[in-house]
Amino acid sequence: MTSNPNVTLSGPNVTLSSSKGGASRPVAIAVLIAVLALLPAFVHSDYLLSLVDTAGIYAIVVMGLGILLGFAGQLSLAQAAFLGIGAYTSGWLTTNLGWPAWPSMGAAMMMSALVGLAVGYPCLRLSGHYLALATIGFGIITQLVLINWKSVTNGSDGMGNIPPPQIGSFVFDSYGRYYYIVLVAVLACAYVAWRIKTTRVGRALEAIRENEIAARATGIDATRYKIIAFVLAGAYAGLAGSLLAHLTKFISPDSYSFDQSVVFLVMLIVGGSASISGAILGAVLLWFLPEVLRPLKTSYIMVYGAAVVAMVVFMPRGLVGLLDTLRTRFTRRPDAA
Amino acid sequence: MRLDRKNFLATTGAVAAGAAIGFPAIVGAAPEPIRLGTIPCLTGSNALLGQQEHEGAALAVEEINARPDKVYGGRPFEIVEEDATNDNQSAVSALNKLLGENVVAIVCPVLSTQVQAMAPVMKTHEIPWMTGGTAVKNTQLGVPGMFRLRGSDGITGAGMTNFAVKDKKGKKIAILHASDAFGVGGADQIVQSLKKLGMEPVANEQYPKDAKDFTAEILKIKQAAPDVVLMYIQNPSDTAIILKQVHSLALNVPIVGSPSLGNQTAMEVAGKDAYGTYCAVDFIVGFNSNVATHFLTSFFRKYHHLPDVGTGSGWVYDAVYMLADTYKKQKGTDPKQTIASLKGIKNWDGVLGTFSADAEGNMVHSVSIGQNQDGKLHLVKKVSG
Amino acid sequence: MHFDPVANMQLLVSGLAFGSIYALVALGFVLIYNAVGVVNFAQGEFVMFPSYIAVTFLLPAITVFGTVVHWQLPIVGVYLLVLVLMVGFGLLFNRIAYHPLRDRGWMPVVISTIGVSIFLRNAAQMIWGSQPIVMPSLFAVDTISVGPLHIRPQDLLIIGVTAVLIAFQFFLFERTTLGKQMRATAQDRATARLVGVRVGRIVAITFVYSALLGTISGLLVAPLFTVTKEMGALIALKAFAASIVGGFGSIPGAIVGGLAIGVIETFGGFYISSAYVDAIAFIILISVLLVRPQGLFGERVAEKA
Repeated sequence: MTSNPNVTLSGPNVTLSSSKGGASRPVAIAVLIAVLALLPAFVHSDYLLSLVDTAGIYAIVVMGLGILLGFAGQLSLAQAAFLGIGAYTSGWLTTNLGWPAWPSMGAAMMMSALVGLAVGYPCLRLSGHYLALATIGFGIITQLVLINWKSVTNGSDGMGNIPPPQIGSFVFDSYGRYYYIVLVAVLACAYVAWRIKTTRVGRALEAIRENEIAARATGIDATRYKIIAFVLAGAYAGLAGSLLAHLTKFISPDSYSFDQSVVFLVMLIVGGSASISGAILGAVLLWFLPEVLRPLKTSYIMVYGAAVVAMVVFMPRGLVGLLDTLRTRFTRRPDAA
Repeated sequence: MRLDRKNFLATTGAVAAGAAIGFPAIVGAAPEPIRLGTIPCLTGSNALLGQQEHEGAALAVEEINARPDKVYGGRPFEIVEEDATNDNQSAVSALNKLLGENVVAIVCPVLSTQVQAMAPVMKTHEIPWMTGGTAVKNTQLGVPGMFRLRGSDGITGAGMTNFAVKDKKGKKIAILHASDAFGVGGADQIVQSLKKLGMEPVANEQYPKDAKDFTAEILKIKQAAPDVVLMYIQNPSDTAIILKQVHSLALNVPIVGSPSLGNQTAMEVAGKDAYGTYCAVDFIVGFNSNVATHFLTSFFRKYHHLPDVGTGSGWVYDAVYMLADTYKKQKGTDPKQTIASLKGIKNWDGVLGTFSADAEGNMVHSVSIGQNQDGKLHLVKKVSG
Repeated sequence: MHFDPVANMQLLVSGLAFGSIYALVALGFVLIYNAVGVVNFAQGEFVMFPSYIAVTFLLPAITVFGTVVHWQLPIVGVYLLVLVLMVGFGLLFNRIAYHPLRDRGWMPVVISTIGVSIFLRNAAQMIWGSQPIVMPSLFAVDTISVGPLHIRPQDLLIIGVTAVLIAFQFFLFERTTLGKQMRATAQDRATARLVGVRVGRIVAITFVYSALLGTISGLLVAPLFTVTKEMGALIALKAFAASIVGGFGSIPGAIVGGLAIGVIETFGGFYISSAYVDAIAFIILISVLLVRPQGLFGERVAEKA
């Protein structure tokens, strides 16, 4: 059961991060999607399915951060705040205005994207640590608003009774059913990120990341592309927040903290920051790691901290780099023979 | 030496192993253990609450399993414990993990937001849920088997307010509270109780999480010149820092706190700064039943420190014993039958007092007002909600 | 809210005391940033961990790993012992969290310091439990009253020690060879190495010095804060903000930034809203950055890679 996620999740690495690709790529993607789609047929434990659902949702947030940091080189420590904005938009629209879940998800994405625009624009002049501080500040302000704007957010007490999505009379109210929504969202987000990476926008972002002055000199509108990255990061987190709200049906401000933003950053860097599969792998690995360590009881978070240090030290290019190395070794052997 | 969890696990492990391997060989069939789930916050910023929850459950289970008949018919309790940490997502994961472990009842974390985050999952499982979360809402979530073994914020807030207004003759009441769900929920209850008396607080200050300097809040309250200050704060460290600054800044009016102010931990940490303060509490040493005296003695013998009875270990200890009594009476652990029995609980004697279930699943309907006199809590009066 | 001169003085004293702590911890950030170009996310644990060590040796009885110990050493001895232990801590931290990653840019180091921070906080819980612990104060009285003003001697001590340490730091950097080597390393490592500075050793010394600044901050605030595993978290965040708003890498910037945040917080909490006090501080900081993207005393050149 546990081998399933491993097998399937190493897939994106093969298909998406590889520049070599080849004719086998569409086949690999098809096989991967088929295997992923069948997962609930093999996994029946609510516990594992709930973990997989949440891991997928976190993967979306981290992919968004990957576009911003990995592609464009802009550090943000406010991803949890955007997650919260998405969750609360969705929660408010469904519980206060009686909107169905689907349009609320779209609205949540738009709202977070708009806030991303509003934050990204003034932050254009900032870089590095100054940008980090500004985004930390934005995250803390957002959390305080969620706590104190009681008439809308219901304050620290949180917002409950958020309905699950449904199609006709089919309600996505179990982890197994919800898995398909998450799967489609993850695949769509990965596809969009991959399109961005492999087209003009991605190359422009990469040029900005490597040397903004040179990029501007070659006629790249750095301002516009950086804002695009902020908006996308916001939209991804907004969608994820909405998905999380409709999955757990309850949201409270303490979930959207600075610490949570830090966790997303760690997920991205441990996975491998400039690759889409790295973002997904990092999110899945670091979400599952504490769960795997649970038998250690109270010391497990301590071990998790040590593991984070060990992973950055021993995997210089993240999980993706590690897998790449393993794959080249694995594929080279037949050539040599 | 304190008996830590490792020892505890080793003992329960040994018992379980004995039951699983040794026993059947001789007797034939070992009585099957009754698996009881707990989800304390063992890590993160609320770890103190989690540790106390763990200690209360472990003590009750140890005592029950030492009885000749154990729970009933030789069946012992076996605790299955998962860490709720302090975020909602992990609490839900912990719950889902427990639900896959064949537990017959679950003792919930004490944080109300976690209870609410878990509620959608809880609704789909008809087993007894024992909670110590005080938010009024907790028993109104539509979870069939939810039982609260402590006084709700409604009872506590009303008790504090009435004491301040009627006994202390307060005409100007100020509130200072934390920004977490506990502090905000409690402050809301106080404001509502004041409204019933035709009053409004002269100041209602909320301090942010992790704050270490309360000069601004205390000066603002001082400027409003209240007769009584009501505090709704869970964290013992915050409580201690605030009381110290209240003294430094010479805010010399009676202070009435939420139950945590009467906790052993808060009283120890705040030291002489807490002398003279009042609090609404579930429990006061020396003014309760034989059950309570027994609990205190055996808790001290096992852990070598005094428990935080109300917020910490006492309600969990009661929850485990209440389940044990019910199973014994029923001679079975069928969850539906247990829920029905628990709903019929009347005048059951526990550490925190006498429990009777109401329609919502609330078991405790009164609080006491105590005063800290030189580090010991003395009963001032009993208040019913 | 009427204007009250006594309240304002009271707020100012408290704001300056907290600002001083932010400034001290911010100096730790700046030193490490200048030496190796990274942000240390475990700076808050540099404040928390020594406080725990101090109470372990100071209190008549304390539970360590589930066992009660009774060391109760004299306070000056304990302070010295903690400082010595933290020298080792700084060296170890450099060895584990920074040294293996020294050639890999700043992001991996940031993540490894985050890992160390998670580790230390939970290690503290494993060792000392989750009970808050009271650190005895050096002073017999908590408060002295000067007319209508109530002043905590501990606040004055904090302000005084910070002033002395800042003076010491200027002396160290301007007048001593070690200080000059540290500055040379900060400005240009390659050139520093060429002129014979042992860069690796200077980096190690920087980590030790930064750990000691954290230790002193911890010992100063512990009697006011009580010792908990979260005690350093918020100080570190505010100190980071202070060091950035002053202009990252600038020592006067860190000091001014720290004091400013401390004062803004107490006055903002009093005159505007205590519930939104952190938001007020950050709105001002962000506004400053939008006007001066390189901070108040900022480097005019681009950041180090």
